[in-house]
Amino acid sequence: MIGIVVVSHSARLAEGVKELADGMTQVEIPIAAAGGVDDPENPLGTDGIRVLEAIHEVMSDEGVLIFADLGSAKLSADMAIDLLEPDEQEKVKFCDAPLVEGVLAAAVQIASGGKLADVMREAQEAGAVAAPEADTAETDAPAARDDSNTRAEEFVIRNHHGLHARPASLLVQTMNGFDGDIRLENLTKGKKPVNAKSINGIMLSAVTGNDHVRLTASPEEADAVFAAMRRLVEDNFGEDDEVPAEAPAPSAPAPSEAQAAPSAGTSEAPEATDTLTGITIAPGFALGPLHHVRQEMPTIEAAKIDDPDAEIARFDKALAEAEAEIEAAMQAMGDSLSDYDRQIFSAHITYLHDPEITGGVRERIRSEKLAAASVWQETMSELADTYSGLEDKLLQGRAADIVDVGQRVLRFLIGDEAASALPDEPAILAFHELHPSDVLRLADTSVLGICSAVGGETSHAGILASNLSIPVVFSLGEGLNGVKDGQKVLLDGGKARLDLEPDPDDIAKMERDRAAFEALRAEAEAAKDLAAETKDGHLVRAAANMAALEELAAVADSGAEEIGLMRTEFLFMDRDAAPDEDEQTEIYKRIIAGLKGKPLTVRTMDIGGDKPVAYMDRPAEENPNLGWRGLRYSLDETALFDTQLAAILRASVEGPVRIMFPMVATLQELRAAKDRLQAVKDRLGKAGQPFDDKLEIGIMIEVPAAAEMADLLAPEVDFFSIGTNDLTQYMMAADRANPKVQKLSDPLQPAVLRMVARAIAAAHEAGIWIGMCGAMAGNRLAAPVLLGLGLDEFSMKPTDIGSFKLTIRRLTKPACEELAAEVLKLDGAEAVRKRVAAFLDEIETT
Amino acid sequence: MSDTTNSEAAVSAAAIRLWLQKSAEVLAEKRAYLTELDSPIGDADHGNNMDRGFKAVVATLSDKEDVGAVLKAVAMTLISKVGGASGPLYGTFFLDAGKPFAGKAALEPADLVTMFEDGIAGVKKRGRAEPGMKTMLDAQIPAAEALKAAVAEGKSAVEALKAAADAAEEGMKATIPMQAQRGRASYLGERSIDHQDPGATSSYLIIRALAEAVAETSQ
Repeated sequence: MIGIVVVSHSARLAEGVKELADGMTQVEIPIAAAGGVDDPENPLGTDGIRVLEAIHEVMSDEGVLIFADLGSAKLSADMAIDLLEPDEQEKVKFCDAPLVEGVLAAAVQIASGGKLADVMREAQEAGAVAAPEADTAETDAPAARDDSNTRAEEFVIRNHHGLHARPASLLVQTMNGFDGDIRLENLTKGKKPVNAKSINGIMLSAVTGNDHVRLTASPEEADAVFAAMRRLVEDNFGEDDEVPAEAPAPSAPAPSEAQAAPSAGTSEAPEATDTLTGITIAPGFALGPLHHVRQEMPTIEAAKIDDPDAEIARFDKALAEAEAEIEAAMQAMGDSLSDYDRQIFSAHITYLHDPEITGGVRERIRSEKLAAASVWQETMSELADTYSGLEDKLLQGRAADIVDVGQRVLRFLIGDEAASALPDEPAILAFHELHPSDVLRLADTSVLGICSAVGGETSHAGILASNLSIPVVFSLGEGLNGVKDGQKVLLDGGKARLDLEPDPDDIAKMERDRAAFEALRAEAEAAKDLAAETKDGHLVRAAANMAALEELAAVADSGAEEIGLMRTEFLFMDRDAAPDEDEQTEIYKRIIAGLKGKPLTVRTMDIGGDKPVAYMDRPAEENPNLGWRGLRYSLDETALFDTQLAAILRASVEGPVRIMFPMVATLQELRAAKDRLQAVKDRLGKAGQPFDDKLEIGIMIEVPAAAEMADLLAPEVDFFSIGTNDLTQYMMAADRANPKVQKLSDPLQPAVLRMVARAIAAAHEAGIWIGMCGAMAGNRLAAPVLLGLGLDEFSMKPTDIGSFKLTIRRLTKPACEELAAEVLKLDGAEAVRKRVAAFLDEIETT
Repeated sequence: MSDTTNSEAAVSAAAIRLWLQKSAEVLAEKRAYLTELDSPIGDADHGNNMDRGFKAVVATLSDKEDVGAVLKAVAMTLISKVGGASGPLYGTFFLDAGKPFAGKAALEPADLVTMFEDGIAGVKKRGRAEPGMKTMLDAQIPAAEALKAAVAEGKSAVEALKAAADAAEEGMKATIPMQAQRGRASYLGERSIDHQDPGATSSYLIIRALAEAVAETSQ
């Protein structure tokens, strides 16, 4: 990608311009700041050598653009270019453009794949934005349009601030995906049409909320261009703050009505289909009214007051009450409160004491004689908007915290009904995206079910929500926004479906399904503490998967005999820096202590390109699943790896622990990992740190290469654990997230089962045990086959353990061995499924 | 170096090092003066910038017996440490001045001429400046011309450099009535007249330091 170097006399200005540009684009652009000189007393100036280093930091074959502030900064830039090798010099250009506008315009063009010359031109034209209105016509003069040969469509922009920097940037990046000329015309403001691929053009059009714009494109591309625009508009260009539609005449503006239903009143509102499909987070059924949870502050009419002192006293009382409520919630959660949760709650209390926030509110109550509720609402809304406008996912998440604490204080100021985001009646809650703090505050409320437009099962919120005993479905898509508040809907967690218009037949069927589900759940609940033993006395081990300390209670209560997989990625996510050795040790110790002697299998981190961790500064990867993840990453980033190994070892004094390495593909990798472990053990030994020297070492079998080499890997370790999710997609060369090939990406494919069979045979040949920790381990249809193949340990979601034991307790080993041999020869997963279902039916009836 | 029979001989790397030390000393001494000159027509940082740059030069002075390497190290330090426009300008001067002498332990008088001429060519290009624009070139160019003439007459390095320093001083003074056409001072137009150019002044001081250093090491 083209790189940018920002040269300024001020280090802070250069960093600031970089920060601004970073925030403008979805993809990360290489930008280096080269500002100031190394002299604390006179820090202003430019350093040509620093510029040279900065060029090298962002250099690629596509080139580098340098921007500078004042005259001598340009000299330093020229100097640095002269110091480059001749072949490098060709790729580096000085761009004579206004620093801020130029860099922003360039960043947007680079993000959408512009060539060096285009990027430079766009940046140099950016000066026009600094002098708006004056020459709108000129900038567009050459673009005489031939209306006869284009198609146009009109849109209403609903973003509160219109097409300001970020939305404009998103629009340009989207439009740059098309070949032909695309024009945008602000009809409301009567602006001339501008090039929709030019950030400057868009910004000059001064589109604000509720403005009507016309998009013009070539007939060949028009449909696709308009569809793309429609998606942007419907999604508010990725922003939350939407202006109320103009059309409906406002009746008495009660606070609770002030929130406009998303997409209401726009002609481009999506045609609602009657079912939305997402991903299962927790199974179960719910029928009831849908309620959109406001992840923003309610609107409150500004009201005047007479006695500012009394109002300030009221405000201070509300702050104190809110704090007491948070403290009480923390107390109530007791031991199950992880450090992460504690940090969230503590942050909420910090906001209540922040002098910038509360002092400003008091000041305005006094000087403007305004009611506390309206000033507080305005202050917290602005703060939340600021956070949600940031690119950093972590900081965006803070917006939810601010809204949460804002609403909490409002409740004490104006009463529950007007302030709370939660409905009085039991309802199915709809979120745009669920945040961890949402799960925490929902834990003790009566909610029928939860669904969200976006979000993944491996997110922190997803992990937390999966332990709720209500149906939870994520990733239903933007269509969820179009569902009206109060509409009666049916949520099926297991099938990950939201039925928007359930008819009596649907409801009757749901009631039957729910009855069966509840009966099974009750039966499973009763069976969860029994042994996982077949009728003929063959014992297997039922284990649970976990990822976060918060799950400890659910795991301890699940009937699991051990933890077959503890994912550790979450220890590293949602924070500013990696946890140090002491912190990690403490977390592992707390989990081990909570397990009371049940063994814990800790998988070392499998941070992949699809799970961004800001401070790790990983490069973007085209194929993260085939990329720098798991052990591959750990063996390169040895400091992180050593810290984790040391922490697991130190925690091993607390109870039984195993270490498991993910993504092993070669014997060499395994040996390198074991060498590091030995080195860490030596270090701890020398430091006199106690640890369990005999703790078991195992590897994940998830790369087909490892399954193939299982006979050589097995003698080197104490156990294997098969990761079926990755093994299946690698084996079948089919992405499990791609619905078109989902049938292929099925662990019941005979090819996958054969690979599992070989791994089990290799393990037993070497005399080690073998488990499975992928989704397949908890699958009722897979259980008899895996039992027949000889699997020793089944590790699954804690909620699946009871029903798993029920299934196992109806089986006999020889019958399962026959079944397994038979299904390995079938023609595909569908046939395996049918055969196993028939097998289980037969058992039921006999 | 105190061997008098060597008085006609080359300017050694040690002499170059002494030059840079003397430059640093005089720039530190004249720091307030240079800043004072820069105040009415520039941004009042020339004394500071040059002092900082040359202090760093002395601190990182290469002890190689290689004039080219010493001058290149000076250039890189100035580019990095001076901060203002003088950084890249003096940096270019030393970079281009040293280029022909990589691996050479000493300079002949004719080499001194080359050194000045190459350095000046670099400054002209970097600053897009010509003589008469009220810049450092107005001290450097007369110095180079005087040096060249003296060497052509067969004068020793010591004598030739003394002539160069005298010419630089004349050139520096000649900037007083000029109207600035480059840099911050050019924004002032006619109001830049009647001020001595700080860049020409620092150039004069540096050239005088060279003449003194070579004289001392040749005694």
